[in-house]
Amino acid sequence: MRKKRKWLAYLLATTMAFTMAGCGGTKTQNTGGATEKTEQADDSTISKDSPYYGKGYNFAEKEKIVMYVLGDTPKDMQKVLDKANSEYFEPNLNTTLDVKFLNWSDYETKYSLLLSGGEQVDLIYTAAWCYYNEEAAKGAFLELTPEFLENYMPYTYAEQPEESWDQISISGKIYAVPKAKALFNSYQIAMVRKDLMDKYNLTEPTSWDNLKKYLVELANIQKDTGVTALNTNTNREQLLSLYLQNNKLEAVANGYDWYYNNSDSEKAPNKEDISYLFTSDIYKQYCLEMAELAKEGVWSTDAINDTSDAQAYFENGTSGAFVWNTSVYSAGKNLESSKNGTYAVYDVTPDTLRRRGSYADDATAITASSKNPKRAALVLDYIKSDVNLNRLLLGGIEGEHWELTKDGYRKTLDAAENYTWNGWAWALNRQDEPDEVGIDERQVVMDEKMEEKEYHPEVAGFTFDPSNVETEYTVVQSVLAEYESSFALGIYGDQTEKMFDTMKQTLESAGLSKVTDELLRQYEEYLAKQ
Amino acid sequence: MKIQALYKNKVLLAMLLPATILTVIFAYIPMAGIVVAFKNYNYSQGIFGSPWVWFENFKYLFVSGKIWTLTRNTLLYNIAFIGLGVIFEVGFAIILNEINNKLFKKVMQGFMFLPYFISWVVVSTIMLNIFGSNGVLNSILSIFGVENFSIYQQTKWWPVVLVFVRIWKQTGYGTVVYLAAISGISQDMYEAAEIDGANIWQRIRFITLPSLKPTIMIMVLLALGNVFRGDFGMFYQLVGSNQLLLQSSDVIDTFVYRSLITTPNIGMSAAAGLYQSVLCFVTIVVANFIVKKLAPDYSLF
Repeated sequence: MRKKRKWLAYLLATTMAFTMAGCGGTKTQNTGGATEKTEQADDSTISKDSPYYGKGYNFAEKEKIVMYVLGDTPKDMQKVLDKANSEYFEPNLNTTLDVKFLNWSDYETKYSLLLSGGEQVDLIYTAAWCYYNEEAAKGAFLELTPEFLENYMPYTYAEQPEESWDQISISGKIYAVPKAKALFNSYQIAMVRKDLMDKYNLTEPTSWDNLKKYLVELANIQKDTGVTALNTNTNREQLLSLYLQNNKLEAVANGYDWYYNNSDSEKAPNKEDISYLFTSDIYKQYCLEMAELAKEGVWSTDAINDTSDAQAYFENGTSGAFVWNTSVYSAGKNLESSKNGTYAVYDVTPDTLRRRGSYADDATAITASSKNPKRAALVLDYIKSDVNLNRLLLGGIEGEHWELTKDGYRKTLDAAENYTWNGWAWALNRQDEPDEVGIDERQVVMDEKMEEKEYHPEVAGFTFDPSNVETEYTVVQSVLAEYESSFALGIYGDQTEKMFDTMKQTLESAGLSKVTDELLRQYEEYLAKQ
Repeated sequence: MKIQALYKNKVLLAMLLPATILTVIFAYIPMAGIVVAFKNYNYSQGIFGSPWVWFENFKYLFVSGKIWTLTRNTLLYNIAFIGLGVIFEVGFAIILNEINNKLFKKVMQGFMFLPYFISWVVVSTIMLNIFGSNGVLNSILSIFGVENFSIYQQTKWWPVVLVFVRIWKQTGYGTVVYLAAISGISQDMYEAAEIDGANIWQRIRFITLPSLKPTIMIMVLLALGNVFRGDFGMFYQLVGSNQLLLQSSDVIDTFVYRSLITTPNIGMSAAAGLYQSVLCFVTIVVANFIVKKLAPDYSLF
């Protein structure tokens, strides 16, 4: 009996030991940014030409910094990294950088795991759509106080556009360093088939109604052409953003579904003018219009169960339209180079004011679990502040992957297929990133228009933090995930209105009003501070 | 006395040790992580340091008002998969066993086993290309004047479709298990029965089936251990975000995925997992209890 107890005690002891070891890794030593520079400065290990020489940093130890980004590893990644390490990081920071990739196919499941696991992660890509608010709320990222930024990211702190810091702040606190150049990457335009338009004399999609006309006309001749008018599916909701644009609806917080009508002004809306999109009459109207298009056969009836990528359909010539942001051009190029047709681009909502994407759309965070956050900050600062290093990481080796023309444009070279310009470093770009030479004329016209119609809504700096109403927000999101694609693809037919009411009711009983109240409360606080 | 037994069997116990250690490390120690379901997890404090929120993480399951339907769906689908699965697997195992042509038997078995290796992603594409509106079935039907038939709009029939696809996919695997069990039955019995004049049906009814009973029991009991877990790969790939079909085929796992993919929360996902585990645990304990009462030899523990 006594022996048995002893055994049990041993077992318990080992179990405890293992458990302790298991959770030891998740404890972190770093909260809040350090405010003081390291006591014993030592830069004897770095070159005297280093921009960080003689500034009181401690480079005594050689460190390895690991950065995680999204996407597929480019073929020449190692080559570029070797060059960056040997010419920049090692001599000037006594550091090596390793860049690791989270694939598109599984970043959603891996992202959180990576941060909570024991692997070394010092820098990680983040964005409003890539868990920035959620993970920051859980303490995954180091808080970057102004003093920390000033001390350990001196060049970036000086160069970064002022508003970008506002846009990345959550309740006044900064958890990531945003990119430095914002494009019009949320504005949607329509790419259509020029060859079919000429051949069958179809309506030009110069407005929302004309776009629908074009699609229906194309659907009616599907038997002749073999082309689905808008070959789309659940992976891309192609028409909603365009519809919102057409109705001049602007999101009050980037990445969240509360909208207001901007009435062509930059002014921040009153609290009463903000409403939740998916229970609004405007959205109901959208659902009805989508059901109508579905009935006309604009897309296949079981597009909802199709999981292929809609862009591929336009590229292989089986879709009559592709509605997306300014990156549609690559789809058009591929269509034409494979000789499947020709394309034209239309601004479907020419009167709508458009904003540059938020700087917070791409950002880099220092993880709370980083053993060396200061060095990580210096690495990030160096990448963002040194033009040559920055272009090396963005586009590869000058003269091999790209070169600059006399007028400062960027020309793609043959090896670029092994290292596409800005294939992964979206959060690292600089304001002086060179534009590509010889852009398609169709793109130039559209780009000029963008700048003409640019506006800066005052709400741009507002972000929402749903952690106080997490239960309700989670359920709201799950209800939305259940219905949204089905409405977008109009699968309910005559039942659309009834189903809309069902969804609205479900959302309301899920506690939507509580979430809305919380958002409005935070919005008022934000307004009061301005 | 007991210590002597330990000493006497030290070699056997040493052989058991690696398995025990692995089980402890991978099955028992991680169980401490269950607490995360009751915590508001944050990275800086870790699993054990994060503040307790008790049942807050479970709330979303109930606020949604769907948990009862989801649990029922998950249970009923799994019961259908298990029940029909056993019938088909045992049935095909017996048929294959009675076939004397070796080549035919092997080819048959190969074809039946094949679907088991196809991933659900591929199955969903195959389905779309056969049953979808541009699919093979529709082209054939249109010859007979039936236009625009798509199983993706048949809410009512979808449970049947899912069960059918599932049976198609898993039968081959189960059949192999039962075939192995059948080959373990002594041939003497069959020969004796044949001499006594038993025909093929009688031999199956009175020899094969009773001899398979222990295997069937164990397989069913093991399957019951997962009866409240939906096969996420299957439901997610085949049903996707088609709400018409979700009305009749939403399971706990797909709901949890939809809820937490945009707002990841370790505590909430652990809560859903714990909810399923507790239900499964209760089920298997009850089932085992019943088996123990009725046929004590066949119970798991």
